[in-house]
Amino acid sequence: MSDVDADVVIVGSGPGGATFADVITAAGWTAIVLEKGRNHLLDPEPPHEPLGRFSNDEIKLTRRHLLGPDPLLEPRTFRRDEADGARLLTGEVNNLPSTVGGGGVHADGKLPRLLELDLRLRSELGPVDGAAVEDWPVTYDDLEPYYAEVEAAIGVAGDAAANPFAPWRSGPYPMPPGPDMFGTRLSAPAAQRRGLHPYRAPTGVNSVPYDGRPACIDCGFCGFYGCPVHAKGDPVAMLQRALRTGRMQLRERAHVTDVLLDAAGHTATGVRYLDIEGEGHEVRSRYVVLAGGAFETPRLLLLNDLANSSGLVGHHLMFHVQTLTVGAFGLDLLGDRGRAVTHLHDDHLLPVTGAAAAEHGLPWFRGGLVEHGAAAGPILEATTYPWGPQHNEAMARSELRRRLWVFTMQGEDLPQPTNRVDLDPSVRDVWGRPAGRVTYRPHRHEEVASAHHGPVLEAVLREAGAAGLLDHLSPLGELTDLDRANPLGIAPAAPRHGDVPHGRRPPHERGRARGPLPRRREPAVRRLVGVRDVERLRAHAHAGRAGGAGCPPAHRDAAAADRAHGRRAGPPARPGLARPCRGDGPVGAP
Amino acid sequence: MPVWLTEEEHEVLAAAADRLLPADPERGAPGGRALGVADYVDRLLGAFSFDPPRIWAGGPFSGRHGGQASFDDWLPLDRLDQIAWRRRLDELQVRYRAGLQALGDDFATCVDDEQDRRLGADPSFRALLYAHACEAAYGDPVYGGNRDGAGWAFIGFAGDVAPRGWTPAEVRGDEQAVELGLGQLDDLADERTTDAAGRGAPDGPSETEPGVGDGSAPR
Repeated sequence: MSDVDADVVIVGSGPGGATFADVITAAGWTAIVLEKGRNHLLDPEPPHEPLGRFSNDEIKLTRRHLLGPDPLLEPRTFRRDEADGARLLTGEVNNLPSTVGGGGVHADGKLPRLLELDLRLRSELGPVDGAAVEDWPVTYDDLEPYYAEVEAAIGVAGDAAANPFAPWRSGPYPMPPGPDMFGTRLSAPAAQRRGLHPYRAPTGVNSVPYDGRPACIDCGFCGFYGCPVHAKGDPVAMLQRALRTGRMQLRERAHVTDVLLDAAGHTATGVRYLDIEGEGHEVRSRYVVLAGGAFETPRLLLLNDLANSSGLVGHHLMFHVQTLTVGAFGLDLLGDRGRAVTHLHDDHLLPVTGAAAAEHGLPWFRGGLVEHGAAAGPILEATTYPWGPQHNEAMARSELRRRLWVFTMQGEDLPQPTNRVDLDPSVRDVWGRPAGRVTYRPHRHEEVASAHHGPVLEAVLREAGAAGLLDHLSPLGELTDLDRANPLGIAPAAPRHGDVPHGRRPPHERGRARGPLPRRREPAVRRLVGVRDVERLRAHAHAGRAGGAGCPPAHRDAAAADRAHGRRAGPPARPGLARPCRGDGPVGAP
Repeated sequence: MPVWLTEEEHEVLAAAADRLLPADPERGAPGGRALGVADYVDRLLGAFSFDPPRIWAGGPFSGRHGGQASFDDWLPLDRLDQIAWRRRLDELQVRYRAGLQALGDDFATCVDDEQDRRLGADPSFRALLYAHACEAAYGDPVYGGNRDGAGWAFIGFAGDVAPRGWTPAEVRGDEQAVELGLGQLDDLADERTTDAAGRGAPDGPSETEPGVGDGSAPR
C-alpha cells in the first residue's frame, strides 16, 4: 500500500465517479478524485458543507459558463459525417458541465429506471440493419438491488405504483413525489383520456427533508441550474459522504493527460495530470477508474492510444434524440414554478413491430420516454423574440415562457458504428491537446419512431386544450443557427422545455424541417466494465451498444458504478451495502 | 460614471438599447435606456476593473425573498477562468468600440428611421447588442441592468425566489385550477390504476408496497 497514493484514482467527479467514490470509501478504500473543472460544490475542508455558489441566476448559469466547460478553453468540434470535412463547427458540442459534480449539478434529476426490455433489446426484438443492437451483459434482476441502493443514496422521490410499465421494485421510493406542476393538470388527464399512462416522475430531488438536506423549494430554477439549497441529491450527497470518511481527496482543475502503465504496458498504475498552473503531477493507485463521461473518457483513451485494439473506442455514440411536441395554450401555465418536469409516460417505449414497422423497412421501432413540462427563463425567451416594438408585445404576452406546454420524447437512439467521438485533427484545447470531435447522424429508426409517435402527442395536446401545435424532431439535417451554436444541444437530463420559437412557424405545421429549437442530447453512458487490453483500468463503457431507452444516463450510471463496487472493491469494511461483495468474483444473483 | 465605456459611448449605447427595447408606457415596458442596458454592458466590458472580476455573482440568495443577501459577493475567477474571460472581453471590447463608433456620436439625436438604418448596417453588431440588452433587461439587477427589477415587473416575473420558492399549492396552481374547474390530480391516480390494470401492464406485476419511505437518511 505504501507505494500508492490511494487505492483508486477516479477521473471525473460526476454521478458515476461520485457514486464510485462513495461506495469505495464506505468500504474502507482510499480514493483520489480528479476533476478537470472547478469546484463550486463543496468546501474541501471538513465538514465539507456546500459552498453556496448556485443561485436563481440566469446570467451566470446559462450565459456565462459558470459550470463549464468554457468553449474558449475546451472547444469541441462536430460534423455529421465525412462529407462535412474535418468539422462543421467548433465550440460548444453537447457541453455537459465540467465541474465538481459533473452533469448531476445542472440536471433536474428525473430518475426513472430502465425497463427490463431495455436491457434485452437484441434477444427480445432482434437486430436492425445499420445498427449494433445488443443486450446488456446484466439483467434487470441483477441491477435492481443497486438501483435501490442508489435511489436511497441520492434520495429519489416517486410513487412506486404509478407507472404500469415500470419494472419490479424491491421496495418503495425513499420519499413521496413532490408537487405536480400546474400544466400537468391539463396534460396528464388528456394523456389518460387518449389511453396513455402518465405518472409522477421519480426525481432525485427531496420532497421532504432527507439525508440532512432540505426539501425542494420549487424555485423553478432547476434544469441547467445548480440547486441553491442542495435539495438535489445527485451528486452532493455521495461526494459529501465520501469526503466525510476522510478517505477521499478531491482535486479540482486536475486535467488528466495520461494513464500510467507498468513496464510491460499491461497494467494501469496511476495517472498523470496537469494542475491549474500547467504543472504535471503523477498519482499512483491500485486501480484507475475513468468516469469522464461519454465524450471525455474515450477522448482520454484515444489520446493515450490505449485500450483500443478493437478499434471501437468512441464508437456507437448515442444521444437523446428528441421529438418535441409543443402546444400553445390560452392561459398562464405557471411553468416557472416547480421542477421543470413532474410527469412522464412510458407508453411510447413499447416496441412497434409487424406491418407498421415493415412498411418503413424496419423489423421494429420504439419511441421513448415522454416528459410533460414547460418553463424557460426570461432571457432565453427574450432572445427568441424580435427586437423593436414587437419585443414588448411578445414579452408581455409571453407565449413561450407562460403559455406553452411541451412533450419531449427522449427517443431510443440506436447505436451506429459511424456515430463516434474521435480526435479533431487540428483544433486544440488550452493545454494544446487535441479536442474531441463528434461525428453523428441519426438512424432512420429514430426518424420513423418520431414520425409515428409525434401525431399521438399532438392529439394529446389538442385534447388538453392547446390551440396551436408544432412538432419537431431533432436529428441533424440542414443546419440552423442554433445547430451552429451548439449542434447537439446540452443536457437532456435537464431539459428546459418551452424554449421554443414564437411566431416562426404556423401552428399545426409538422415536419422534419429545421426549426429553431435548441437540440439537447446527451451521450448515453453505459455500463461500468473493465477496459480492454489494460488490467486494473475501469471505465464506464461509453462505446457500449446496449439500449438506452431515452432514460437519463445518470441513474443507471450511478447504479452501474454501485454494482461495479460489488465486483471490484473487495469485502466491505462495514455493513450497509445492499449487495454482498465478493472480491473480484461475480456478484451473486439477488 | 462608466467603468469602461466613455461617456459618449455610454450615451450612444443607451440610445441604441432604447431602440432595440423601446419604452412603452402603455404596456409598462421601461425601455432599454431606463433598464440600464448601457450600465450592464459597461460592467461586463469593465469586469476586470473589480476584484474579483464581476463575471459571476455570488450565491445562494439575493435577500429579496429571505436568506442573507450574497449576490454581491462575486465569485473568484481562477487562472483558467481569467484566461478565457480576458480573451472573451478583449474581443467584445474591440467589437463594442468599433460598433459604437460606427453608430456615430450623434446617434442619440437621430430620428428612429435613421437609427434603424445605422443599426441595420451591421446586423452582427445589432445581434450582439440585442442579446446583451435581453440579458440586461431580464437578468439579475446585480449585473447592472434590470434597474430596480423593472424588467421583471414589466413581464410579471418574480425573478429569483429562493429560499422562499413556491408553495406546493402555488406549484399546482390550486387557485387557478378552481377558477378553471380543473380536478385534483389525485383523482387521476385512482383512474390510472384502474385503467392500467384493464389494459394489462407489461411483464412482472409490481411487487411494491403502496406506502413510501419515512424520509430517513440512507445510511
